[in-house]
Amino acid sequence: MSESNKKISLISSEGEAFEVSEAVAREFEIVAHMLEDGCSGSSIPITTVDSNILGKVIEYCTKHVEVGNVEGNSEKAEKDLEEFDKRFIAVEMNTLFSLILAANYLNVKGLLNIGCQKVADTIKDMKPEEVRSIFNIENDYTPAEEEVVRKENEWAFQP
Amino acid sequence: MAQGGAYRRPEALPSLSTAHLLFATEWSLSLSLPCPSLCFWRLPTPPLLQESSGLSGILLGSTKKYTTVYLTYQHYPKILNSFLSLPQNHDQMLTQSRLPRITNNLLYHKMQSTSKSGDQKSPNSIIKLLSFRNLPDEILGKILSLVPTKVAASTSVLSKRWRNLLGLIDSLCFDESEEATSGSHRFFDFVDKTFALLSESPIIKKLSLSHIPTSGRDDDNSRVSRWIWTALERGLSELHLHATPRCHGVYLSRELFTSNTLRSNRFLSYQIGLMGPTMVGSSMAALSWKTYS
Repeated sequence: MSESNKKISLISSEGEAFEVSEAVAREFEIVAHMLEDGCSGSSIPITTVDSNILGKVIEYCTKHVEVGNVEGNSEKAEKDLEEFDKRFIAVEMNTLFSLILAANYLNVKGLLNIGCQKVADTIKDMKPEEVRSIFNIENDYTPAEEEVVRKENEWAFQP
Repeated sequence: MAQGGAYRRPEALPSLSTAHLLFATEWSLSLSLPCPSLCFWRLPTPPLLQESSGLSGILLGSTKKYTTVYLTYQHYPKILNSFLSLPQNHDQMLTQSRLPRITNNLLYHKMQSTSKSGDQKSPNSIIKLLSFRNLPDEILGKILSLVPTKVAASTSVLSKRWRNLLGLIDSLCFDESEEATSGSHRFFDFVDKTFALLSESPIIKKLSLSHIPTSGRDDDNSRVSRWIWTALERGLSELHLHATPRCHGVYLSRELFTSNTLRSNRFLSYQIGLMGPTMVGSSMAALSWKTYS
């Protein structure tokens, strides 16, 4: 039996098991490392990622593994994948942040990249106050300090 | 009231289930605890601090509500142990290379067990608390690398933490918009300042300069040269230069592309201006050129 048919269970923080092929699990670089380190267990706990997000990350990796396995017709496949990524990442902010954190933790580079790009596209045209609210940032400047920072980067605040 | 000498966990101490993990790297861990700093001082850490020559390894910052604890590799297994009363053998685990990830798990497990014993929060909500909107600095730096540098710089007013994030970006994109014709000095100053800020940053992957409002003076040219020079020294792999009718052209010195350190780049030509695209760098992954037409 070829190695790619081997199944691995990924266990979410709630203890839910997701059965995936080894090829998909290897898309999680952290899992790939564990496998290379000789961690032979067929179930791997992913304790910092909940079921909802883990399910999504698996969906992303499965799609990318599938497309990667199709030979020929690469232009169309690439376009499809782009469309998939676009739809996949069109989620509300909290989910987006959770996906980014999970991608960072599990080391899924493609997902991390599109996640960061999505946030970048979102904040690009925002006012600082709006950015502050989506990131839930507490403004710890005094008004005087804030004025100094604004002065420092005067050019950046021009319309 | 317990004083400095007694390392008893005070009642006011929040359990770690309410801690925000700010970020973790291979060698450090930063936690934000919702308590004033005094509270932290009553934790069993002072002996450890003395042991490690004062505060050098640990930075404690605090606002009225939060205390930020920065723990380095050297310290935090011990501190976490005292915090969490972990069995000693966890030390072993913590010294492995995938330290932060393992630590995240440990924190999580600990929180899970704290939550079972009385805390109302479910493990799931604790995880959200840990992660929610608390993207680590490295990721925020990555995001800021994807927006125009002007936007990235404007986020410095968000909070003190964000002011330092600009130093983490690895792609610079400067575009002097058509309208702001008056601000050429400010533009140059801004770019200069940004480069100064990045002096600690090891890598600049991408540099994009658009509509540089040059006057054709030598001074302007040498400043632009200096930016590109600095970026090349930091492993630049992508350079974009966009000319404009207002631009008198930027003439970069030959030395920029023929210096020993950059010999491998073998630039064929070095003139940049309205005359056309003539610059080729063989080791660059991308070089784009746009002329006004």
